Amino acid sequence: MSEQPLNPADDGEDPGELAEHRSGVDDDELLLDVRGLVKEFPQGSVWQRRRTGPVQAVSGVDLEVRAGQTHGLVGESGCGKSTVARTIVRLERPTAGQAFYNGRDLFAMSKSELRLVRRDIQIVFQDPFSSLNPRMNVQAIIEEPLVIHGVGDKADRKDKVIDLLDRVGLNPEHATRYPHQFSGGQRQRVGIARALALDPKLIIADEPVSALDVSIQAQVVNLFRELQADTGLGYLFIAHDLAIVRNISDDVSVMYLGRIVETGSRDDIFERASHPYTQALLSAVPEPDPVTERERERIVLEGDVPSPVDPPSGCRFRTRCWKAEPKCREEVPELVDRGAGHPVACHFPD
Amino acid sequence: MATVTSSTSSADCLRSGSDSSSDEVLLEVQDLTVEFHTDDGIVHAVSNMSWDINEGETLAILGESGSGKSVSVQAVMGLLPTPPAVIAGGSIRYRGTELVGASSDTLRSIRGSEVAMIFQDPLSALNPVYRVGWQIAETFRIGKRMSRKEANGRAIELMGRVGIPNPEQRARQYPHQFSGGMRQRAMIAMALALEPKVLIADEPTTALDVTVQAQIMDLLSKIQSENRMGLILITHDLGVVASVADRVVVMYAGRAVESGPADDFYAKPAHPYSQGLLSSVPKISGPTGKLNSIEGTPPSVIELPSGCAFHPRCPHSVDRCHSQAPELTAITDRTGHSACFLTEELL
Repeated sequence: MSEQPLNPADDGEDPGELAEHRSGVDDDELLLDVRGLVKEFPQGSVWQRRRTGPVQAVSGVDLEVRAGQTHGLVGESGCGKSTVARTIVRLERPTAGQAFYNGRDLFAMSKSELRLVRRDIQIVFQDPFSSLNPRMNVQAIIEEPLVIHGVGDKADRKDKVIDLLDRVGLNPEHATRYPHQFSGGQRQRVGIARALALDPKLIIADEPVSALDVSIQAQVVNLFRELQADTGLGYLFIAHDLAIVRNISDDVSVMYLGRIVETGSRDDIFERASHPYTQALLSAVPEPDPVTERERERIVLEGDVPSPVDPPSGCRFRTRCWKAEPKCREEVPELVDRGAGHPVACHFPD
Repeated sequence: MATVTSSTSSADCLRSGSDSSSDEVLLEVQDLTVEFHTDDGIVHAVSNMSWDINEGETLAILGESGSGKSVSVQAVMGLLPTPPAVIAGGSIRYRGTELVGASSDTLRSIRGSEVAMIFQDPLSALNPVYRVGWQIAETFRIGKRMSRKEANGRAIELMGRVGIPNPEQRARQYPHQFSGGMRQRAMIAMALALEPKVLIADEPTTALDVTVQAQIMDLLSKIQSENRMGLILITHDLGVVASVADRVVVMYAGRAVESGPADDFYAKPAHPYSQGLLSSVPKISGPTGKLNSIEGTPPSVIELPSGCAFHPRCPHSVDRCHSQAPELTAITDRTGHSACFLTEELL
């Protein structure tokens, strides 16, 4: 019944292993370090599962988020980007991999350890209509994390909520209203206020502006920027809108069918893209300018993204790639620097 | 043939530029006012809206959610639920035939065969329990009274034309077996079945991924130029229509606030709302940093602000804007129109 984002989807039994420390953890800048994240979902009915095997939604993803910085994760629907987000906050149980937060592996933590660490890691969801409980007023929604974590007394929490409302650009009188009385943009601000309640260090934002109107999107993106400038928050910013990701991110990773195909600084991706998929994606983004639009050379990809149930062998993009060679069918391209100055998972990068 | 007197106020404001005057005006909406009578009050969904579409032309109706951009075309298609919707004024003419208050026979003869429509969400527009080919063929069976076999053949041919691979096999599948892009192609096939003169696409690419978006826009503009259709694109996405639109109409709170040739609009938007909207779109190139945004939120269409509905959010508003609603008026030295008292000063 609770729509509180802190609740784990499962009880996450302790794997017995105590959190191990990553080497080089003294670099306190690094907030989140995801290594080899794999997430499989069982497929079909219980009776079929033995025969069909699981679907791999995420197949070995590495990501880093630094304090005060934004790592943008882009990809089309079904590429697994939301699964990455949900698994990092343990709304899904990972199949394999590690996610170090301040040097401690989130995936190897016991329930009680995880509960403590969750104060630092919060998630903002895409849909401000379904992620807020319609029966709770804004005061109750925003203070719920504080109640769960036993922070302050009633009066403290009330002050905190008023402070949070102010930080996200809402008025104190909004505290007594219910979600249905707000517009989409205002609801998303409530969702952000809730995520900020426990003074987190890291916010995972899963398509936080894609349900909003253009003029409101800009307001919410600016709010994210301001909050980061004020408090040094680290963001993992997941979106399908490349222009928005470009605007807010320091680093960007591009996902396709469960794998990261290219990663680098914002300019590496947007100015020096070398994976064919990234290039196609960038060239498909429509710009609100008829003159550049008509002159632009557009790479129109054939077909659709293949089903993750039965991904292509080798490079998963090869079925839509204009450069595909037999090698792409046989060999999975590793995500390594191939002379572009940033890692690319392609046998024939530009 | 549409013969229109130029006496009415805003109707001729939206008339296309002289360059396409040789083309026939297909569909013409004039001073259309649509209200929804709800328990909470009267929703002024569309007020005094006018637009028209010529043969071979693409018109983009732009606006954010709740701006009324879909309502005027739903009125054209007779898709408004009445009640609560009431067409409180204005006219809709298809090649001279008045559609407001027309008999259901007249409407049926135009809807689907002369003016067709595709929707944002093809999954809810397709019937999940019938095969896709059957649904496309239905149009031929009913609209052209073809035999089952002939209709199926035509459906498969059409599916091939809209770029559905293996149409024979795909025709036997159900909508859930189609991807989003393929479903939209199937919808387009269905809309094109009776070779309409006007195709209305309501947010045709919103539910699709960027790479698929590009495919669908390419398909729509290809079909449009082949059939010399009038294409009406309704969207909130200023980028998607930039390269294909000939003219644009920008809606805010149920009114057209700006209209004119697309190139002028994108190069130099005239209305403060258009300016705010265009500058708040993040770009894929050029400088990054704080985005421009329009302060505040769109007004409730039940309690519209007095005067110009945009004045509470407008950075340039003056006293006059609070009390008086500006009409769409011609912009000096330009073919477009803008509904703002300060248009000339701001350009």
